[in-house]
This record gives sequence, structure tokens and C-alpha cells, in this order.
Amino acid sequence: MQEDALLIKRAQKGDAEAFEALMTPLEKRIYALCLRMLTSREDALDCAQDTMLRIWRALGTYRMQSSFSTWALRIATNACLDMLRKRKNKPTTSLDALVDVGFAPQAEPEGSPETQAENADQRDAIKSAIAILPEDMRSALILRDVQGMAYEEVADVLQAPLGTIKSRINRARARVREKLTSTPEPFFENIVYADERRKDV
Amino acid sequence: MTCADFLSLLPQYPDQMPDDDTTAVFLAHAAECAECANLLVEQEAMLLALSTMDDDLEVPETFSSGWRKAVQEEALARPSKRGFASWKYAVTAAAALVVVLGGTALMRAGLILPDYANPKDQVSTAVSLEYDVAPSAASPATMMAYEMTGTASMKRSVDATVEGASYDVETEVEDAGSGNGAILLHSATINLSSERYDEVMASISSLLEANDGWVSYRSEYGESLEVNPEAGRYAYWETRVPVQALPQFVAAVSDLGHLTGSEMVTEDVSASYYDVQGRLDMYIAQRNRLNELMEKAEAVSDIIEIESKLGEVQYSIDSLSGRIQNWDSRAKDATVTISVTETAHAKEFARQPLRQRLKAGLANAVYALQAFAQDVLVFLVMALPYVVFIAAIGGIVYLVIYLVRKRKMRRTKK
Repeated sequence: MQEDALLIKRAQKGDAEAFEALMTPLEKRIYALCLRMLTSREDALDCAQDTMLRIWRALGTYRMQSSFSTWALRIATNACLDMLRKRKNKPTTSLDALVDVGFAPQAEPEGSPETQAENADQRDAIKSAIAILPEDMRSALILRDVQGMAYEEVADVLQAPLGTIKSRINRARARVREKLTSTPEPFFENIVYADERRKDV
Repeated sequence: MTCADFLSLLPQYPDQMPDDDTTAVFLAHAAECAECANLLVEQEAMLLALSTMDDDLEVPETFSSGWRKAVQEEALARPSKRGFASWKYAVTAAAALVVVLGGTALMRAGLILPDYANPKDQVSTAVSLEYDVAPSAASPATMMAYEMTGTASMKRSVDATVEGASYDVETEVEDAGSGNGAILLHSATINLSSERYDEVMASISSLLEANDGWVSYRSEYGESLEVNPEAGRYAYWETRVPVQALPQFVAAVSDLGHLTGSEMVTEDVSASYYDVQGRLDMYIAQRNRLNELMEKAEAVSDIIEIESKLGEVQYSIDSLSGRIQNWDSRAKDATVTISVTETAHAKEFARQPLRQRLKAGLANAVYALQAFAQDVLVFLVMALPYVVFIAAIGGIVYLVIYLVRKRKMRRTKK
């Protein structure tokens, strides 16, 4: 933590190397957040790049009132929302409509070919389910259930009351589960249900 | 727990359950109800999938290298901005220094922060004299603070305790000629050396006459260098010159020869002067009272006693009057002592020797710095109430603007 504080101070004075050291642990989280929020790889790259520069330029305003990662993710979330708003202003086919006809959000080439083969359908299904969530639920769910942040941290990032965040996450989970059970490729096809499990107990 | 309850709690499982008891009941229901148990499995699978969906995510190289390059380019292009923070502080510090030093200079010139007289400093009290006062035991105990009113009159108060009786004296005294009520005694000393001794002596006499001055004491000794080249004459003058003519007289005399030394002294004897004046007035009033008593006295013993006390009072009056007159005289006419030394090869330096000038310059600079530092401190203390007042106004304005903006933001969000 002290090292981070030193890096932050150096970066605030314009030290690019200190900034790189500070942001390297966060770059995957930021990129992942942008990817899950925007669902498009190109948009996610642009947004993540923009986020990094926003953080660099806004470093002088960071007053250590929250953790650095919380502050950085807040900037990333706002950048994603800005891009989503810009997208809304452009006439596009709704993602829901595309998903209904079998379109899956662009999958990121992830992991080894073996794991890709095993989990590709499941991942695509869950990505589709997240993609159709409203922005406020989507961001809360990604930060909490995908990135594993604490509820208080999520509330801090999204600048919303804790109760509101919990409510959004609950509703998001319910919608995602509902979507997963209703997709043509059942997400839950390969899981072991309680009936079978109970026999083992 | 019913299946409906189970379903409503399901999204909250496992990290938003109300309490452990509810969780236990929830899980117990799942153990009994196959459908609900399946729902629980689906929930757990979904959460697991969510938590691991980014585990194998690889950050694209284009992104990773892209932001690094962009930041480095901005950092290189921003040296002026990097230094801007320190420049900002330097400019702020310079501005503060200009304000403090400039304010001090303006204060010294009397252009800002006028020195308002605090009315509490003015003290005046009534006077009463008691018959059984022993003037010889009279001793003004304390001179209270007095205040120049800026007019031709001064008020002062004296707290005089005499044999257990206390006196409060209020007097009004005339301006003793200083223009603002202060009694200032000016004196100057001029030491000259010259090879034109006789000319200098004659010039001093002429200057005295021209400036309505007079000689209170003069002495000369030594042999002329013409007679004895090893000797040389020396003259000492004590002169009195009207105060108004002092500056030009001193300047003129200083130019008569080589100035080997000079001194100007101004002594403020106002406190002593008015103390003595007050005591004098007291004694005069006492004398008048005693004279009244003398007229009424019938017994010889009373007459003798009153006469004795009158004598003592008169002695004090004469003594104090003499002091007052001496001060009046010295305040009216400045005392200038002049010494003239005849030298054979006196060079008419336009300036003093370098070493002397350096020493004098350094001493003057140190003194001036000390005086300025004191003035800076006085300025800061005098300016403090104004600064606090302005800061308070600024704080209120800032708060109002902040609250207005906050309200606008709330409305925008709604």
C-alpha cells in the first residue's frame, strides 16, 4: 500500500514508468470490464485505451479518498457508459433482437483450444445473458460477480447507495438465470442436478 | 419455507442472505424440495460461471502496448505541465511576498492601514487637592499612557499617590513648538578638519548669524601650522540654532571642510516634560490654596505653618519651572557642537574613506533590515483582521456557489 502511494505520487508528477507500474495490475480488469459492458471487442479496445488515458490525465485529482483501483474502475465504468450513450445515438439493431435470432456477442479468443471447446457454449450463453441487461444492472453484476468486488466497493465505483446496488445485482442475477434457462443452447445442460447429487449424499 | 419464498431468496444466495437462520431454513427447504434444489444448483453454476468467465481472458497486445505508448508520449510532451505544479507554487509564493512587502512599504508610507487611535488609550481624570498634603512627600507614582490628539493640546493623566491620598490630575498643556505636541530636543555634532582653518571659523560665525543662531560656548587652542607645522589649531563650538534652521545649518557647516564625524540626535522628553508640567501645576494650585488659607488664618501657629509650607511649595515651583524653561529653550533652539581641526594636508574628500563608507553602509543596511522586518511583522498583524474578514466573505460565497451547483446536479440527475 505504501509502495502504491509512492507510485501514485510519482505518477502524479508525470512519471510514466510509475504510472505503468501502477496500472499493470489493473489493465486486465479494466479491459474485461469494457469488454463485458460493451460486448464488442473493437469498442472495448477503444474504451479501455481511452480509460487509461483518462486515468493518466486525471491523476492530479486523485485525493486518496478511496482505493486507487476503485477510483480507476469508476473512471472505466463512466467511460463505458459514455460509449454506450454514444452508441444509443447511432441507429443500430438492438442487441436483444440480434440475440433472439442466434447472434452471440463477439467472443474473445480465450484459453487453450481444449477449454475453448469445453466451455465455449457456456461462456457465449452467459455473455449473451449479461449483454442484454440494462446498463446499471450489467455494471453492478460485472463488478460484483465477475470481478469479485465487495458490495461497498461496487457502490463506491457506481456512486450509488449500497441498497440500490444489492437490488440491482439481485435483479440482474434473476434475469441472467432466466435468460440462461430460456436460451436454445441450455447453459445448464452439463451441470449435475440435485436429484443426482442427492443420491451420492 | 414455501417454494415461493425460496424463489424470492434465490437471487440473494449466497452473499445477500438476511441472516444465518434464514440461510439454514433456505438450505433445508432445498434439501427437501427437488425442484428448488435444482434451482439452487443452477444458481450456483451461474455464479461460478460468472466468477470464472474472465479467468482465461487475455489482454490484447494492441491494448497493452497502445496505452503505454500513448502515456509515454503524453508524458514527454508534458514537461511544462510537469513543472507547472512547481511553477504554480512559485508564482503563488512570489505573489504572497509581493503583497506582504508591498503592503509593508505602503503602510510605512502611511498609505494603507491607518493607525486608528484606540479611544481606550486616552485617560483623563478629575483633580482634587487636599489641604493636608505634604508636597515634599509628593511623588507621582505612575505616568499613565497618554495620547496625542493631533491637535495643539495634549492630555495626560498622572496617578500620584501622596501620603495615602491619591491625586488625579488633568491638565491641558500647550504645544511646546514641535507642531504635534511632542517635546523634542535636537542636537547635532559636526567634526571638521580643514587646511583653511581661518576661513572655516569665519564661515561658521557667518552661518550662525544668518540662521539666527548664537554661541553658548567656544574654545580654541593650539598653534597655527604656519607657525609650527607639527602643531595645528583646534576649535570647539557649542552653538544654539533655531530648530527650523537646523537642517540647512548642519548641511552648510558640514560642507565647510572635511567631515570626519557627525551625529544627529533627537531626544523625546515629552513624558518627563508633561510630568514636570503637571507637578508644577499641582504645586501652583497648592500655593493658591495655601494663600487662601493664609488670608483666613488667625492663629500665629497656623500662620507660621502655612508660611513654612508655602516656602516648600514655592521652592518646588521654582525648581520645576526652571526645568520647564530649560526644556522649552532647548526645544526651541537646537544644540550644535562643532569641532574644527586644522590640518596641513587635509584632502577635501567628496566622500568618506571607503572602509568607513562600507562599515557605515553595512550598519545602515542591518539597521534598515531590522526596522523593515519589524514593520513586516506589524503589517501582518494589522492586516490579519482584514484577511480573516475577506476569507470569511470568500468562504460564504464559495459555499453558496457550491450549494447551488449541487442542487443543479441533483435536478439534472432526476
